[in-house]
Order: sequence, then C-alpha cells, then structure tokens
Amino acid sequence: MTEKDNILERPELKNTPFSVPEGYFESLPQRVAERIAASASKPAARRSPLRRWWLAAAAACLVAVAATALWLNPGSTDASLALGDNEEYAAMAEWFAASGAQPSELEASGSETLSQDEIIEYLAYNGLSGEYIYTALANAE
Amino acid sequence: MTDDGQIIIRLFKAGQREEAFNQIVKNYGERLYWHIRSIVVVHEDADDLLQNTFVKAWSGMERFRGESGLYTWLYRIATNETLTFLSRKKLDLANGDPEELSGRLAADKNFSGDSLQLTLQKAIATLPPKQRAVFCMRYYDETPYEQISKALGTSVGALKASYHHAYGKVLEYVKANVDIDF
Repeated sequence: MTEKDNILERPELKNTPFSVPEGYFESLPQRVAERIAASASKPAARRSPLRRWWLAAAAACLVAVAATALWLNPGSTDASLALGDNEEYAAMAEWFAASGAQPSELEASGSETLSQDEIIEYLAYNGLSGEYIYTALANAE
Repeated sequence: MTDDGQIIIRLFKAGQREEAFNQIVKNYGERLYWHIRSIVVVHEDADDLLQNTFVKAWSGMERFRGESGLYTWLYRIATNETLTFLSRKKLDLANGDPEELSGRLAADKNFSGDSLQLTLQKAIATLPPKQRAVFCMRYYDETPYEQISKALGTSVGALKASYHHAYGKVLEYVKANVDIDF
C-alpha cells in the first residue's frame, strides 16, 4: 500500500476547512424566530372544492386508463415497473454477488439506464442486507 | 435523552416556550449546522437548511414524545432536510459537477482549505446524495452507524456497505486528481 492509498487518513483532511461569518451562531436564535414567525403568518393554501373535484376526477381517469392497459396486456413486463420491485433488486444483487460480474455486464443485461451507484444506493436504502452489496463490491473489485 | 433535552421538553410543556426555543437553538444549533455544512458545503445552503430544521422541529414540538431523545430527533429532521435539498439540486453541484463546486469554493471566503482539501470536496461532490451524507457523517464526525441508521432509517449493514463504496470512490478520485508529490 502506497502513501497515496492512505491519503484520506491524513489528519488535516479530517478537519473542516469551513468557517462561518462572524457572529453567525449568536444571531441564529433571532433569525430562526423570525422565520418561524414568518411561516406562521403565511396563509395556508386552500384549494377550492371545484378544483379538488377536478383533481379527483383526473386521478380516477388515470387509474381507469392504467387498469385498462394492464387488463389488455397482462403479459408485458415494463422495466419501469420492475424498478419499483424490491424483490427484483434483491435477486439482481444476489446474482451480482454470486457471479462476481462487472458493472459493465449489468449494463449489458438490460439495466443500461441505471448506473452502478444508483443500483447500490437503491439497494442500500431499501433494506437489503449490506452483506450482499459488500460481497458484490468486493467481487467487482 | 440527555439532561439538556429533558429540561427543554419540561420547559416547553410548562409553557415556557420562549426559553425552550432559545435553549434548543443554543444547545443544538452549532452541532446541527456542522452536520449539514459538511454535506452541502456552501454556508448559505447550510444556514437555510438549519433554519428550516428548527422551523419544522418547532412546529412539531407538541407531537414530540421524547422516545428518541431531542437531539436524535433534530438530527433526523436535519438529515432529511439536507437529503431532500440535495435531491432537488441534483443538476447543480450536488451530484456531479466538481468543477462548478471548485469555482464556488474558490470564491467562498468561508472556505480556507488547501488544494488537497479542495480535491476532497470535489470528490465528495460526485457522490449521490445519500452516499454523500453517509460518507460525511462517518468521515468527518465518525458518527456511529447506529445513529446514522436512526437518522436515515437504513440498516447498519447497508450503511457500512454504502460507506465502504463511497470511500473507495472518493479515494480513487483524490488519487487521480491530487496535485501533490509523494
């Protein structure tokens, strides 16, 4: 391991290079209080009953169209629907971990709209065990 | 909950709201600010998000039951605010334009870093929002994974994987772009 490989462990990098304007923290309570007062005095946005009725009608139409489309074409597997399926991602991660595939292979297998980062981020924040992702990363490296 | 948190909650429930408010901002403002700033980098953004955090917390104080501790609760609100902000700013510096960040930091009188620190900030700017938050929480503050887990609602295992991955990417970027001799 070279010195370059340890560069992020340099103590000076862990110190924040940022500062705040003078007196910032002292004046903070007053500025927050002013913002709270301003947000409290804002009138709440109210929708007219007619507008709400139109929104409900539009939502109902959308649901009807979607249901009809699914009923007419039940066998289609839309990639965008699959993206929302956690099990699909778990299976993909399992495959990724087991095969040691490179990210480019993932892209070639139909996930060209997702980067490796996006896949990992999605997996990590949707409750997938870290072990799968960790193993997949180790294999990929 | 810490003693400070308990005292503040008691003040609030006893109707001493102004005192409770001042104590909250005074006790937790600075810690929350640095938490947010390490992730969003720019002071004006951090200030705006911090104020939003307190506005939201204050409006929800009546419903706060004290199960998680006051600071943990504030930390979670601050983290959520920050992530929402980064997601909305995806096309700005948050997700991918290190050169723009470089220009902003060069003009920022509240940034005193050297070229290595600037390179590190640019590397962090390339991370996706949540990975970036996890990286900053661990790298700068060494925040325990359990605390990050509570703030983000994500398992400790997944966070470790996320940090490991983020660390690798930041390291590669810094190694490739650092402007010093070894």
